[in-house]
Amino acid sequence: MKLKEILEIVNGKEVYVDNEGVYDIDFKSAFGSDLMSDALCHLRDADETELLITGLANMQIFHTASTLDLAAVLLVRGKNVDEHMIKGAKMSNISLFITNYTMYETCGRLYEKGLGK
Amino acid sequence: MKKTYTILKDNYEDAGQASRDIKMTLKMLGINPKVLKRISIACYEAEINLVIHSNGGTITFEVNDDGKVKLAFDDTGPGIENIELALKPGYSTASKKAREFGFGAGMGLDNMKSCASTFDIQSSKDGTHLRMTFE
Repeated sequence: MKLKEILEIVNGKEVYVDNEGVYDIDFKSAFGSDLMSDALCHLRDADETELLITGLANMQIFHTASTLDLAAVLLVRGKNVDEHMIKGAKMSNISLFITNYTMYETCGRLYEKGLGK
Repeated sequence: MKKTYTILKDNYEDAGQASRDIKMTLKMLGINPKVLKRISIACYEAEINLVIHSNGGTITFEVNDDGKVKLAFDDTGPGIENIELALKPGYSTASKKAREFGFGAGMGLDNMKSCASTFDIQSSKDGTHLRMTFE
């Protein structure tokens, strides 16, 4: 599933795009968690086709995504993203998107439409 | 090649930067991507542990001519009371602050152990010394 469709499904918007190529990635699945240690355990074989969905708004989401070779993070619950966060995304070469939906609804909507099914 | 980084206690803001630098260096050296992923995960988990649990310490990484990577994590205490228990998946003594930063699920040591080719941890109240190799 391409990002354009993902953003339509969750009424999401772009916060920072590190590389326009992120819109060409065919996302195969997603992992939703506020615990980065869970992501580090479960996504050991992941690549850029895995979308990290989280409600955690700090630098560790970018370090985690970068460690796991991911390309994009979707932030839920309409968290405030300041300049500092954007700088973190840029330093880690991670694209950041945001939705106002909760984690539950975000994951539910995307799964229903086939992401990760 | 050998390089050492200093890690400060409770420095959540910069946690992960040393691991990112190590990953970038190893990537430039042409380490196998699958091995690099395991190194990155283990290194980041261990760096987070230094920030969350220790009084501060160092990370040293070394690459041999044969491509074997060694990671050493040394801190100045307070030490792990029960290593056997700490290695048990799900066991955690992380603070509320650590959990707010997305860590403290009690999976770190176990994850590092399964990423590394060799894993050795020694701990006393004077410090914890973790060694991992990857090939």
